[in-house]
Amino acid sequence: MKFSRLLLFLFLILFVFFQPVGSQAVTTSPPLKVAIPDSLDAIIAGFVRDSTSGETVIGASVRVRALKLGAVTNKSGYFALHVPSGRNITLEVGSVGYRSATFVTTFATGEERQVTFNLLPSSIQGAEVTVESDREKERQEPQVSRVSLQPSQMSNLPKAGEADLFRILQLLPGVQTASEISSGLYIRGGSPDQNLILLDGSVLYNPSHFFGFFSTFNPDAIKDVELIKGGFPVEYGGRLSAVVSVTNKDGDRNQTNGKLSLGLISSRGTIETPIGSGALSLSGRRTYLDIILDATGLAKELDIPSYHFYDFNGKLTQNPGENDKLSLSGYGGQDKLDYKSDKAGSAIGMNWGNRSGALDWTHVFKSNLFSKLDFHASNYYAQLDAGAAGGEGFTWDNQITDYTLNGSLEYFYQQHHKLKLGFQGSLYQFKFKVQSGNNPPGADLNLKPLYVAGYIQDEWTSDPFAITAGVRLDGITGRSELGFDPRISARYILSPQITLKASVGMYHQYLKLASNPTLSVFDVWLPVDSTQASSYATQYILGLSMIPFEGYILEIEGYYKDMRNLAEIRPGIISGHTLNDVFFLGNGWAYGGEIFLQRQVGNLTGWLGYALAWTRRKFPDINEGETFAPTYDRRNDVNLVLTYRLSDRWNVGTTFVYGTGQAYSQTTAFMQIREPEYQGPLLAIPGKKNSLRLPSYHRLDLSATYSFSLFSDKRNATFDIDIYNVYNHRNTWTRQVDQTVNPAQINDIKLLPILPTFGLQVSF
Amino acid sequence: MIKTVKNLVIGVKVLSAKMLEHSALWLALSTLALSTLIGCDEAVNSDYEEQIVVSAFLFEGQPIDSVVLDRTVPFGEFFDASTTGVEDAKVSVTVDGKTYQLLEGTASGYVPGRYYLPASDLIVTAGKTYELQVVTADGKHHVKASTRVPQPIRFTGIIDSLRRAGQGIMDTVVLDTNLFGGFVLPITAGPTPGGFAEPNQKYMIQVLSYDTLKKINTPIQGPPVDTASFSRYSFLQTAPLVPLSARLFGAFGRNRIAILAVDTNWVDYQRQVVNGRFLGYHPSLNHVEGGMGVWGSAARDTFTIYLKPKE
Repeated sequence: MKFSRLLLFLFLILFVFFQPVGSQAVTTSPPLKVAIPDSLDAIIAGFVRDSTSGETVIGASVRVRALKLGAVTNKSGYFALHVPSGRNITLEVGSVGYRSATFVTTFATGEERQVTFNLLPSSIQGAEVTVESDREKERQEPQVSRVSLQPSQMSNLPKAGEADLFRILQLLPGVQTASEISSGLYIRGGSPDQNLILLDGSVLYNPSHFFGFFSTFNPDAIKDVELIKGGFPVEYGGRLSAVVSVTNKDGDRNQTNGKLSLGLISSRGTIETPIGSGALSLSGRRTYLDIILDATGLAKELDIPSYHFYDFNGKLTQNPGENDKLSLSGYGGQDKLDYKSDKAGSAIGMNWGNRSGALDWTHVFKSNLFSKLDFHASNYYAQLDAGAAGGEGFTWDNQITDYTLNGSLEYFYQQHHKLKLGFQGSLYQFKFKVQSGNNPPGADLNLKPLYVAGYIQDEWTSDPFAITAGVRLDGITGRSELGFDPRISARYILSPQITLKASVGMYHQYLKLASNPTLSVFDVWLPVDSTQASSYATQYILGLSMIPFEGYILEIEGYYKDMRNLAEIRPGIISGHTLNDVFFLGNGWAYGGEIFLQRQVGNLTGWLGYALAWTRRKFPDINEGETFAPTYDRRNDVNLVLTYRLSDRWNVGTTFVYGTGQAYSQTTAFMQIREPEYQGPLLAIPGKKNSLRLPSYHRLDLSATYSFSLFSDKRNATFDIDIYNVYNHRNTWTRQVDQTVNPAQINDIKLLPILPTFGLQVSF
Repeated sequence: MIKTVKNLVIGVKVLSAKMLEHSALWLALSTLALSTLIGCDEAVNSDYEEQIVVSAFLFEGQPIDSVVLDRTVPFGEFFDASTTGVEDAKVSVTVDGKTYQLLEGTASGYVPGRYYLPASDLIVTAGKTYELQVVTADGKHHVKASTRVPQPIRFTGIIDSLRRAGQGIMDTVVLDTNLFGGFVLPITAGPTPGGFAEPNQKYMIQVLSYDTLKKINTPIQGPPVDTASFSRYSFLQTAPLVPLSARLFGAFGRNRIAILAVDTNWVDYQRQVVNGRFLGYHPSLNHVEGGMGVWGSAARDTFTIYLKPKE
């Protein structure tokens, strides 16, 4: 491990000190030799926006085709491009979901021009725009394992009652799920706690509703989703495996509009309006099963708990000056379950949810110097109060609060170089208290560690090569160790259709998750302490991206991930004061390959994904020290996702998933402990951990969406019908041993049957 | 020479690029087919191995009157507890450097799989370490385990708590079946006079209902009833401060309440069993070397109340 770190560091040193600098390097790089002028002495920079809403467009390409020059907008929709002066140049601007635009202009010597490009949205994606946009992204950003999703790609897919972002991400190769009733993301052999989940830059610690069935993201509020399955750059840290970054809409800057969505499980609404020099976007949703059950009297008659969840998003964006943008955003969501029985004198109250708020300030110092400063506060809480009056109750109070200040600078100092540097300071507060009756608390933690990180990265782009190299240094109070994470990504354009990519990097994680196998609600985050070191991983990724046919993109990637100091929760914890009391410590590794064939253009869009993967864990105190597969180790995973635009009114969609059955531990024998004065229960003895497999998983879903006019001249409404599990294949969730019969038998617990749902969306 | 190498490199690049361009689909399909073939799962079936199960719970101040040895029963076979006892084993206990050979049976007669030591030979003492050695008659199993006996414990807050319950009669408690939630008896326990509690000592509360015919129809999940017709509830505590709720009582009539200061072995066993239900076997919580089960010890104090319904 130390050797690989040293090797990587030496490589970085070589990269920094011996790389060719400047445009000269471009002209000498075969085979894509292009006539590039000696002097790129002018700069064009600015924002790319949606012409109808004024929203900035993330990942839009701005290019000068004849000179092979280009740039891609960042998460703020900003780009900077060095161009030659004194001659006519044609700028092409494009992005997926928009019509491309062309501008012809001339620059004066040394000119720095600030512009805003407005793109017109397009309902049918043209092949050329998509392909060119994707090619330009690949040219500019040698990032491996990245997938971007726009809301338009999600809207026509089967929803299973409620459109959900994480369920769509689970359809990508390399992203697995614990079961169809879980929205947790298991990415390339990493558990959900190894993923950095960001909402407008704020970390969400348990982004789920309804006991993990749905994620916390309201699909109507989302502008862009970026998933990086591995090899993520140094601006992200504190996690071992992957990054999911969700950016919410700023809001419509030109006109007021809104959207209402009525579903079987929940309804949601969004409103966007211009305000001041920017826009305001508000959205919210709530489930209403509790209201229906209460109104019909069924809740009382059936004596069932009352449950609902809600969430809301708000974002206010203002541009106080041409070069400044301020954004204030917030998220709040809560799940609430209540059960009261007067006769039993018992009551159960559960509340859990996430709250986050962020204040972002982006400032353009110069055309080629872009800065961002943001402050985030995020809180996850889970509280349980169960039991009866008189001090017999049981209380559980778990909270993690995170106050983070981020700062970053992007310096486009040469056409082929972009320097990015930044810092992160996070003050955490972990509170965890478990108390039974009047007993002293079984656990009573109140920890306030400070996490500090700094990073620097250089992106060197010069066809056919591009290399991004950086290093992140971080550490946390309470543990005297410094994380040193060098990371490097590279791409090589083999031909106009084929690009090779590679990435090597190290990753540290200072928070561990005591994951409750039954309910994710009771997951507890804990910082490393003097008894257990931080987890760290080394990732190696090799990929190939190609355009086999016009309109198709094929990506093939292989990876190996080595993970150290992983944590597995100890069984039957009754009190814990240190990390060592709570976790076993061990190692893990994962490797595999993925194929992702995607079509983003025309009436038929979607993808075919295949993943072949191995995930292993080795803990001295688990499985007698022998290697075992975690439950989510899945050898084969196939996902087919298609949407087809039948006509102006009709869209149909389908998803088919196939996966190897989950690993599980088989009961091999029984024993009985004869307690004093008591026969004792029959105890099942498992065999080797997770040595057997449940039956393979497969499911087909269908959806149809019809567009029509409702109280309007415009086609402003859609009605969708979804059929979940069309051929009613009852997949196995888990396998249990029935000890009520002798000899004991195995019973399969089955998952959901065929389930039709419908929904209505109205825009105004 | 250099020029030749350069041309060769360029040639390979161009050739590979062209091959890849024209065979992209075939490449994808063949990779898919190949990976599906090599990606077939190998299910590793767990082989059954017979194990010796020790059930032995020593009590401070008491003789070692029951060390039970059983065999495990493979999954799929009929489980009959009367046939699993391990007979003719050599069972010995070592304490203070002296080894005692246990006898097969009980003080009142022979019972297959049970071993004991007469009270006249040995009484279990707090703070001492007792080591168990077992060798089965066929010599296949060698089992070892060790326990350190906790310090004595006694109830300290019974009278006050019962008085606080306002019942008037000290050993009779009235349970209002219309208000289960209001029934709570806080009870405290602590070391005996002059004694002490070990650091991180764990405790267990047990309620044993003798008159199970007088079952309480509680709407809350009550304790399990075992084959001996006792209704019993056990749970671990981090401190000897016990709130007794209606939920702990399975029946009206005589109920014995016990507080136990338990050793690590017993705690780790109990962590796998909650409310009579087995949560899952964890090898890390097994402290019997060469076998399974419990070689645990405890100090205990008990008192009995009479529980009657509100008239």
